[in-house]
Amino acid sequence: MKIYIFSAFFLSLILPLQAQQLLSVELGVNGLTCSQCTRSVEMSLRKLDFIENISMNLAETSGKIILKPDMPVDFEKIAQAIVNAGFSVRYLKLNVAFETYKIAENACLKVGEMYLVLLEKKEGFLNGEMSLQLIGEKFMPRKAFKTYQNQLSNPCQVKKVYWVTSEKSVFNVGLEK
Amino acid sequence: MRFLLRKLGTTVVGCLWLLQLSAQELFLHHEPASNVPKGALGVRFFAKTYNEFGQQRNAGTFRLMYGLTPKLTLMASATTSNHHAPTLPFDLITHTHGATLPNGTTQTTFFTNNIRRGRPYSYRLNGFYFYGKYRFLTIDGQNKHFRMAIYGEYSLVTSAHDEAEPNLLDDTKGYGGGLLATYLNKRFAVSLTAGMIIPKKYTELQQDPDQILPAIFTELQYGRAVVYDLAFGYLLYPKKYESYNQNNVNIYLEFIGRHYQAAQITQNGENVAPSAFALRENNYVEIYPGIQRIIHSNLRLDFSVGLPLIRQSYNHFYPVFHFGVQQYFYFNKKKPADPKLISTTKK
Repeated sequence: MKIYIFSAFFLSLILPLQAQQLLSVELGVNGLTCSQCTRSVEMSLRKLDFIENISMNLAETSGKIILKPDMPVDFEKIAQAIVNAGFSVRYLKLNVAFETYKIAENACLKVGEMYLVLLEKKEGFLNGEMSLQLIGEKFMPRKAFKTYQNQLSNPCQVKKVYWVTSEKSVFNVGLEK
Repeated sequence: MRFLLRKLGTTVVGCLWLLQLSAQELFLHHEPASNVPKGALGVRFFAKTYNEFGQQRNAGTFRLMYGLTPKLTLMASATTSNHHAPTLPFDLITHTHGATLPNGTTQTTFFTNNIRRGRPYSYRLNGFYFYGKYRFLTIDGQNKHFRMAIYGEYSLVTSAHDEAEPNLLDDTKGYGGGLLATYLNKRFAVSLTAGMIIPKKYTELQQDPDQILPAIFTELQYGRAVVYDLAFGYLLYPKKYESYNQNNVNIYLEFIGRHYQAAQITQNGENVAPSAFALRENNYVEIYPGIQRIIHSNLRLDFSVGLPLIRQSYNHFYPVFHFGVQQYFYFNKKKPADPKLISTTKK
């Protein structure tokens, strides 16, 4: 029994240090209706060197970006590419794979080299693939951003953070808090 | 050598990607408040033709459009036409000599005429026209937007234009500007232009019909104009977007409105009353129904017919037929995407 408790305690210390992976980025575009306009967004995004592939949903004016492995991702550049094509960002969502990740008390998540701040206060572990929507003036319509404006603090003790909100959380309750 | 040329050609083609950017808000005659994407180059050729008393009048314009920033678009155009003679028609502004006065001078009466139409003219370069628009308001939603832009235009056209109505594209030099407002919602778009045209004057030395008399210095100041255009567009086909390769068909109904002042004419400093129809103050509204086809997202073709609705313009005769061809080039180092729809986003 003591061995199990010791193991659980030891694991709870090291688990947050495991690397989590950003799998893809989903985007929604506002201001357009035609397929050619959607294509202009795709071509603008394809200029970014960290993008491996893009698939666009013409009916929903949305898309999914597959990222190149081991290349830093610049979300501001993704948003700017949409603006350069002549349109607006409806949303940017990060698909992140968590592997038994303990949420810190300050809701700071480390994914690769970037830090995310989860706006909802949650406890426990994150396990599996999650969709996290980026919250920021450049990542959503201005009206939607106003509802989050006063919640954006930086508890991660680092210079640059991204604020996110989760759509669906997957918690593993198999380990002690 | 052939191998090198083939490689060079492939490299050039690989560096350029044909991007077709067109929708029901890209009207045939009217500029919407939306812009050319940043870094994209648009190439357009459009032509108009109409019959003037048995003489076919044609004009062709070549236009380059460039997205300097996401909100700023610049355009340059050059037009060639057979609309004008090298100088003003001799019977447009003329005079008669009366009796010799006691002081030895001759009484001269200047007047304008309705010129004889249908004269053959050679094709000549009318000049260059520049246009820029800046989008200052953007309200975007899913499948809809409302946008406003301010535009400015400048013309270096030097035609011997023989009507009061200014037209900066191919008839008169001058400048202008105004506002654009465009609303788009799913398959429907409507756009409004409100602006002004400030033309510059045309001057020439007219040969006196009496050859022994000196030439007459003629100044023709075209009338300032107010512009009020309204355009409607509708996406007819496809009913549902599934692939970039689908052919698109848009239909348009555009209204072009003008109110312009009478021409101010002087010959040797003497004011000449603009009595000819084409030189008087006028206002009118024309209607342009049109259709636009985009073939496999590679080529945009459009066709429209101009008809008078309220009074008429004297710059052309009706019906006026317009044709247009347009493509956008988006310089991209990366290999272009498969034109087929790859996959839908997972919900």
